[in-house]
Amino acid sequence: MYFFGTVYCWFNAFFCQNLESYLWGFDGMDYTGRIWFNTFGVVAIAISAVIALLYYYVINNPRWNRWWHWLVFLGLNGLINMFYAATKTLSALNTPLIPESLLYERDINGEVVSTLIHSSDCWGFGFANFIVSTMFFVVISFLIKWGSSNCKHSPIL
Amino acid sequence: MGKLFIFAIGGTGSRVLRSLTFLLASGVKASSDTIVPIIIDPDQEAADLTRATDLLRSYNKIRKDLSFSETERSRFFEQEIEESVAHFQLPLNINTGNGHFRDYISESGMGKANQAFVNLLFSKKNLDADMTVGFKGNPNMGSVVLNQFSTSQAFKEFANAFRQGDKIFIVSSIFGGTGASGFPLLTKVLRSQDKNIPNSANINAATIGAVTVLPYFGIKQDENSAIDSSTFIAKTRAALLYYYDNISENNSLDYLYYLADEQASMYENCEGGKFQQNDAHLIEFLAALAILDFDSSLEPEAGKRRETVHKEFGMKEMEDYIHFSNFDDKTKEIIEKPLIRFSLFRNYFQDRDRLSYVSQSWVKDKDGVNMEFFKKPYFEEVHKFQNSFAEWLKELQGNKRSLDLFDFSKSKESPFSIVKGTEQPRKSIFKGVLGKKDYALFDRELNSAKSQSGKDEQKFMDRFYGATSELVDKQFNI
Repeated sequence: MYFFGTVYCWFNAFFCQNLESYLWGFDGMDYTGRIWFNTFGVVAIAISAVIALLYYYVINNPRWNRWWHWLVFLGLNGLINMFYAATKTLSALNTPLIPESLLYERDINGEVVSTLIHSSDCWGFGFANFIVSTMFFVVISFLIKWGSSNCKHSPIL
Repeated sequence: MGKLFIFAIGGTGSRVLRSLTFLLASGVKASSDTIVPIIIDPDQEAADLTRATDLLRSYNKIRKDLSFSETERSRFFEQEIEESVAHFQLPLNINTGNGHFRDYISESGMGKANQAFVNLLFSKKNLDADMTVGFKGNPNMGSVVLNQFSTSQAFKEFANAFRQGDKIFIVSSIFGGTGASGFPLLTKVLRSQDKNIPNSANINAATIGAVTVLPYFGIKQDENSAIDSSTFIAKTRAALLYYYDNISENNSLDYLYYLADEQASMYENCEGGKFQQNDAHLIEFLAALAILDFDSSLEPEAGKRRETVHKEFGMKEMEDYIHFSNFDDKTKEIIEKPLIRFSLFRNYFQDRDRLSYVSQSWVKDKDGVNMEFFKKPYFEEVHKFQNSFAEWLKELQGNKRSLDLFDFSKSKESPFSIVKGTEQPRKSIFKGVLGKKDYALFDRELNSAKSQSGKDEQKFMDRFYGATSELVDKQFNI
């Protein structure tokens, strides 16, 4: 249950604590809401698996079996996941789905003093998802590549 | 089936063997278990002869590390070729005195009457001829010198090795010196039941065939040369009359093949030696096919000699440039797929650099050919053989009449558009977009091809035979 959150939090230097709290499922009162880390984690695994399957079994091209070709797909996977995470959190930020207590600091009159979560935090989380999805891609690659007739030795072995 | 002994006489014999070797390397198989080439040529330095013997030895070097049990897939180099005599050459003893014909027949030791008789039979040029470069189109000399081979140790060893069920085939030209004299002599010896020849009964009863090649090229005029191609037709006429009386009429042979063509090509006038190297010709290729046809022919009933079957070669169309489509279906079936497979095999290493294929699964897999294989002498030998194959095809193509089967000039971009005179199948655009075309497709087949465990040499041949077979089926309209 906390696996994905734990992994994402290794890279929490790239996004603010309030966004982290939201992603942990803080609904404004307590951590009883949806744990978004799990959603992003599952989606990252799914996208990584699809890209890896595409490379090793659908395209499966003897011209694309050097390590740098695999890197292209690794990068592509990272970018897709990065944009997914960034746009999803930006959407949550703009809608807003994120509880106000996490979004703004208010004075005693209730006036917004400062914004606590910025779009840069969303992109920061997107970058964290880039790294996490890259890790998933590497693991999945080494799990599934052995059956590929043309690319099984990419990136190594 | 037993062995097929092939006596290849003279320069034409060597060139026919060269064509036969390439056909066998490509996977064309004879009916006999073993082919035993024996070259008869006094010109030890003849370039055609050394080219043929080098090729045969290269073939055996490559073949010795391969096995052909049913589970193995490769049929390249499947046919066994036995080197029963050293360098595949029947040794001839012509080193007497200065190597001149007059010394060979010991003319100086003859009485006046015999000398006068000799001068009637042989010209001064004949008598002064250097026999180490062959008989220069003089079968009258050849018939004297070659008479010795039946008493030679090598011939006795051949006779000793001969078994019931083995066959014999003789290759010669009718317009040269060595072939024209050697063929009837050899036939006479084989059918002689000479008690001094071991196994003479088996040899006499054996199925014997021959191909005699009529003039198919000319020689440039040279006043200083003893060879004059304007005499070829006259010599051919005389020889044919002799063969009719002494071979066909008495049914000495079971099969006799005749081949000829217009003398469209003019070769350089070389009196033998290392400069006598003629380009490969369609006629030699067809003579090689005659060997294979003979080997698969019916044998006469035991103890019965039937009439000599005379054969000529027929084609669908006679053009100046012969493609696969000009051959009839039976011949096409024998040669087309094997030659395309072997061409693809050769082109792969001609068109690709090493870095591009050492990254492939067929090299890197556990059951793949490992990278060290490409540094071994074996691979170099195969590569050299493949280049000789390409050279042979080029010679055939450049000669007149041209055997124009392939165009390798664009094989790097379009490896499957190499066959001349045929429509290539349309390529799928979809496959093109995904990049699965050309050598990528070739690599894909190599990576998918199965190879049994074993030596790298075996795995290497298995992969390429399997892949080229798949490609021939999928990419060529055959």
